[in-house]
Amino acid sequence: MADYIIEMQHITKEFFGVKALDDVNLAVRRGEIHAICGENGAGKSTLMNILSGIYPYGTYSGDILYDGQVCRFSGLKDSEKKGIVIIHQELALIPGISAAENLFLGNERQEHGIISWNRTNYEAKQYLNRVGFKYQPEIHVKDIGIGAQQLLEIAKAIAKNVRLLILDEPTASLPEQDATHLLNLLKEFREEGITCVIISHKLNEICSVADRITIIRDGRTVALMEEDLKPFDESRIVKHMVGRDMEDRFPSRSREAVRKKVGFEIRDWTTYHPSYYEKKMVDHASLKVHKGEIVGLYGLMGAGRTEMAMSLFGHQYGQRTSGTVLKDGKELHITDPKSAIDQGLAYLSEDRKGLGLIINESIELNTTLAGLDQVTGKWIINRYLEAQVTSQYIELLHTRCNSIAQPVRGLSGGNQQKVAIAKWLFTKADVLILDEPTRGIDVGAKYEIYCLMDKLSREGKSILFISSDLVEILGMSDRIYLMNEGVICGELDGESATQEMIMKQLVTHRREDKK
Amino acid sequence: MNALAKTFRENISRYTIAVITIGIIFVFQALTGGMILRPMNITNLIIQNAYVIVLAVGQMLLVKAGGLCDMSVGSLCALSGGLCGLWIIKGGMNTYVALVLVFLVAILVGLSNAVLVAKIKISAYIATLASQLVVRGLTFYILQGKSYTLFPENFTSWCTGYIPDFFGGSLHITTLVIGAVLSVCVVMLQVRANSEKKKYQVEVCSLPMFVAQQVLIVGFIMVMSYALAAYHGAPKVLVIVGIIVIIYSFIVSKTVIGRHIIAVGGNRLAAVLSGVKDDRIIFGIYMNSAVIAAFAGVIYAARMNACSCNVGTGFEADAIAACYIGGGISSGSIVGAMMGALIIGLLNNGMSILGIASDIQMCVKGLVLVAAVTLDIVQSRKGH
Repeated sequence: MADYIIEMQHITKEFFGVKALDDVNLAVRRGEIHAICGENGAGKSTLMNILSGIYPYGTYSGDILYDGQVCRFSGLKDSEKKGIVIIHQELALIPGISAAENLFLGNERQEHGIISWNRTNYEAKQYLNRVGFKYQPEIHVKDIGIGAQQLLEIAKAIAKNVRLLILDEPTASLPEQDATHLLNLLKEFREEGITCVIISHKLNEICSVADRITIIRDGRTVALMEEDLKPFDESRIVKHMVGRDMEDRFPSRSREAVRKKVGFEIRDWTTYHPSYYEKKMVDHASLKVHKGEIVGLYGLMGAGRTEMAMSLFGHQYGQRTSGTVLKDGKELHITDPKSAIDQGLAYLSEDRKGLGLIINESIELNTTLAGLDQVTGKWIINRYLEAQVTSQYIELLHTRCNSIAQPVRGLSGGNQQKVAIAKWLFTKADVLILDEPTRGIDVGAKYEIYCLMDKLSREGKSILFISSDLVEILGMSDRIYLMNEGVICGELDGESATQEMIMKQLVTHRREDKK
Repeated sequence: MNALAKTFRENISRYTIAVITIGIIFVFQALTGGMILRPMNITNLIIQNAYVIVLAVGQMLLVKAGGLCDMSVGSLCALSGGLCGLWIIKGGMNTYVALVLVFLVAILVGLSNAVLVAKIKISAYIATLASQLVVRGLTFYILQGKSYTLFPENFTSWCTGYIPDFFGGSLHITTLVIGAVLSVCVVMLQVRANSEKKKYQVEVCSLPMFVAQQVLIVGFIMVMSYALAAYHGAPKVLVIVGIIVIIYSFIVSKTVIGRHIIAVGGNRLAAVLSGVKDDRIIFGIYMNSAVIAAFAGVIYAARMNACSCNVGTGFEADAIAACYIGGGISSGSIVGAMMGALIIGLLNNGMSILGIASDIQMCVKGLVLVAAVTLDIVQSRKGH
């Protein structure tokens, strides 16, 4: 019998009646690097949050066995005591204090309640050397790059005597060199007996570093790739990640909807990270969308898709942004979201709760917010007209709700998304940039949204459809652009494209990028 | 009956503040032996607290826009009152010219607050705290530490005076007539809103419930008018405050500006991505807050018939407390702010009648604030 450090058995977790995880099993051997793969929303992060106690015992069903014993974590502290440390994609460091202080945060090197700075910095140095951290322990976290910050997080985990290290997308925002260093570090840890669980979208990295791979799709474990399959085949992983019935998941698209005229075009669009001055997030991207066309923009996380859309839509992202935006062949001058909206652009955010909706306010307020002028006389909002308009959109999109005055927070994910879409439809925009419009919503609502996209394109609207779900990109797009590391690296015909072609192009681009 | 209980449960949070107010009134009524609801005391309560209501209305816009605050309003009350004293009493300037100049000064202060918070993006608390200090200092400087008393009649009368009675007699009939007209207007507006709601298939409450609501509202207005009529009639300042509350309620609920304030307060990033110009909204409400504060300062000076350097210390605390007692960011409204201000006024007034020392009064006000906010949080949790 193999020696497992952790076994998660029959884990099921529901959010508001929607199953995020359904009978998932995960078994990690002592001292191995175990990779977890899956599309966005497949349930990887949820699973890790259960393992680390962020979702405490009782909010899920199933068992966690650690060293063969059942564990019931009620919080992060409990799992840390056992030596399980999770490093999230968004790092949890405090920028204004030194690396050493961050390292021992909550675990300070003290004598009788007084921090011993010499000991702090001395011990920090030992840990930091171990992970190959190049700076002095006194340096402030805000002064070091994202790669060094990642190393600091790992050093922090070692300082807590980690036995099981969980890394959620550790290399997503790292330059190639730092990523390689980090992966080598994980291999060293393996020699020392530290077990790693790594979640990543970068399949080439996983293939090179992982001993075994668990693949999750739609909240279920679909495959476990054992060591005897090594070297792992990327395309095989992809097949497991996305392979599902394509029948009737999408409305049928006909080419007649696509018109000759170009409705929307971007030329040479470039923008830089808002706080890291040198990091180019979008690099001379150019694309065009015809009237009546649905153009898919596919890329993995961190490819720069959202960054491009947000910087287009009124400079809400990035700095030193440059490039040209054209609508119906005429150049647009966009200074802020208001001017973008006035010129017929709409941007449906991928972050529904954070950027899309005003969650505590009514469906009515949210529906009309971006097009308030249409229901307003000289000064006064016509509340009755507003109510009528809101009801019309509820009917059109089949939004399930109690009344137009219901706060949006009480709706299910799919219905919230419909309210967000209603807001943009109401602005009567000609160009719709839909960023992950089906993220986190159930299959039925997804189909309704696909149908709506189809209908809108027939009305002659230009739709830029951003998604990291390959299946829906292939199912809905007339044309597909591929994006990687801020560069548009490929263009394919929607009808003839296949998953293998897309993955191949992306992988090839990565390799060229490395050279 | 079930439906009634359901409606009550769903709307309980909206009535919390009314319940608190009635509770406080009952307690004081019992403790003071009926003094608190005497016509003279009700009139005094209104005249004494007009300035808090006005300040709370201005502050409420800031609170609705995301829990912002203006710490400089108290100092600005002192400055505007002080300038009135300096120019009108000492300098003998025409009252109306002086008032125009005072508001210009307030606009300047508002402009500086607005630039600091909306443009330079200093935290609202720090920026307005700084201007609180500067404005207070300026007040001391211009008054040289002196006080001025005895404003001319045309300055004080519209604050301390009463609406003239056209009928004569021991009861102030004009006040009763105004009360009746107001009642009719309110009921008519409600009926109209209800029929419009039906037309657009918005859910309305049942007829008995609606009638009960109207009876309560009309009853409240008429009892108030009777109480005022039994003394000198409606104070002019009540009319002014009433108009301000109505205008600002209207702005919040029915205009684009109001809608944008709520959107910025609810989720600033989402509001911006929907085309709301957040900086402009915040700029505007800080300008407004300063003008409102100057107005409150003038009301206060007129009621005291004097001005001095130390006026207005802690006014901002009363105003902010009133806003949070009146519902805060999530469920707050202009009427809520007014009710909050009245609760604070009631506490001040009731405890003063009872002869409770001001140190205890402060403690009680603090506890009431915490209680009101806690109640609000508990109720909104239930809603989830």
